[in-house]
Amino acid sequence: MSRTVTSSPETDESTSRMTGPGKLPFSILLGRMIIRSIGTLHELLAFSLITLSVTLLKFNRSKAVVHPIIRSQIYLAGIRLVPLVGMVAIMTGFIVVGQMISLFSMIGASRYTGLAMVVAVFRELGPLMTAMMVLARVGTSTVIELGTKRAMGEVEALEALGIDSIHYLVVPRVLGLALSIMALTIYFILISMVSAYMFVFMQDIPMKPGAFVNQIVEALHISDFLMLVLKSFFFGTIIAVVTCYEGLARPIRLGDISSAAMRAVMKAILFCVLLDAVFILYWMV
Amino acid sequence: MEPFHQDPSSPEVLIEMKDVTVGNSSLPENLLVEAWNWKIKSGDFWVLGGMSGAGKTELISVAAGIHKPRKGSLTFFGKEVQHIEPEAYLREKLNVGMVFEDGGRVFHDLSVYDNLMLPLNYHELATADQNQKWALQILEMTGMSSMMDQSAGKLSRNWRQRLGLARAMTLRPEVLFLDHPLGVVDAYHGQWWLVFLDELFKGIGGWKPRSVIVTASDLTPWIDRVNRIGLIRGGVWEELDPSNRDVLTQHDLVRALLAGTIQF
Repeated sequence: MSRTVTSSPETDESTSRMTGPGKLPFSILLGRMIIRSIGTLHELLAFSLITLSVTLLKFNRSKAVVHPIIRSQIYLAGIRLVPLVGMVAIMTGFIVVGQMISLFSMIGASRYTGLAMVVAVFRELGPLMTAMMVLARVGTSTVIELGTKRAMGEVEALEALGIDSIHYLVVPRVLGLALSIMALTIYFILISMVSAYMFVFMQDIPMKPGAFVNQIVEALHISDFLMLVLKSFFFGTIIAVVTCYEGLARPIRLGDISSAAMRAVMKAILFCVLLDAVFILYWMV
Repeated sequence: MEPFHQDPSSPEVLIEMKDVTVGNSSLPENLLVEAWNWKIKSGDFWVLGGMSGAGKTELISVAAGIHKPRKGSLTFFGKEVQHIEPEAYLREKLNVGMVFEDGGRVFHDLSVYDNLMLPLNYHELATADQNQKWALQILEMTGMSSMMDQSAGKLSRNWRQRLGLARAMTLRPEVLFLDHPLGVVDAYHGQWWLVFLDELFKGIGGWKPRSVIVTASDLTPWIDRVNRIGLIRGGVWEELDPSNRDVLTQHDLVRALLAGTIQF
């Protein structure tokens, strides 16, 4: 049905509020986006709960098949990423933390070095940067791998053989990514601390290794360790669930896999940052 | 070639559909068939014929329990699947095998051997040695022993389709569905399939399916083998007896699906 366009002031006003290729009013586009987001959130939550229940109920079933896949996921998302994480950790230690310590020393605030280290690396950069690296390297390939399986009908073939696709495809990835990100985060923190001290040492800043470590230990609380474990575990879980959901949960064609990968990356970043904000709120309160 | 004869002593109903509505999975608003009633009995060898796009694949996907019917009840071995516990449903479902069309939907990232071992190891129905022995036996029966270590993704469509059959055999299903088994295979492999299925009906490696259902857009290879014919056209389901040649000769869809290759 065609629409008649008039030159009345009302039409002009509404046209000025229209946007996008379909020339729909902004309010309609916003409404659609909100409804779509709520629907996606609902589906993601349902997918997460199904994954959780399958993990709890079937963890010890079909061990000969599922447990080797968990190990292979730990290798792919964890061990194989150690060099990359190590390299980024060294650079982070040098560029960010080292310079920060150097600056503190210049303004006579060296006693805050440990606290700055804990806040910057332990609470924020470590978990978040590690999660982003795993997302870029493993998360995208997960969407492509599962999306291809879905598009090629392999998921239906699994179901036809009585193999639970969540148990076989999703659970190993969730556990593998969660455990890998936890371990990689610890490596990241340790390596960036060492490289930060290397920077300090090269800058001839008068700080002994013992004093450096003591400051960090004094700034750390038990809750920091707990939060670190929780944060990195949930980042891994979010990345795995979102990427598996985008690849697997809906019918997909081969041509749509790249856009599904893009959606997964955006959603995973968004949810990780939101979770991070929740943890920051915890610290502030 | 011997036709697959129906068990004369009161054949047991293995799968039954009552008033089932089947929808198109890619176009949810489209219904393919409504109020569909179908019984698959022990000893049945069905061919489901219909023009391309008539919905044969969707029908057997519902009958095999892969897709859910929109309405109606589906019964596996006397148990209505909508009303049994998931674990009990899984046990019944393992008795239903499926060979998918267009290359068998094999697991591309696994080797030929691992494609067979995956369902065996996942369900842990026997010891590892027994599973391994059965998988090797299937590979030998299907002529795939020499390629057991090859990646399934690197096989030609002919061999992938055959691997799909080998994989469906691993769990020794009582009912075996084959979706367009000859659809992508060449003449040589097509002949192998027909000979192998003849052997399968007699029993192979200590196992034989109690009922077999194939879908086809060309009835020519099947018309003399089957003991039941089901036709789907425009949402209408029709069952025919292949021994009643008078009916077959006058049926326009049967004639079309035989493509004039058989003279009665």
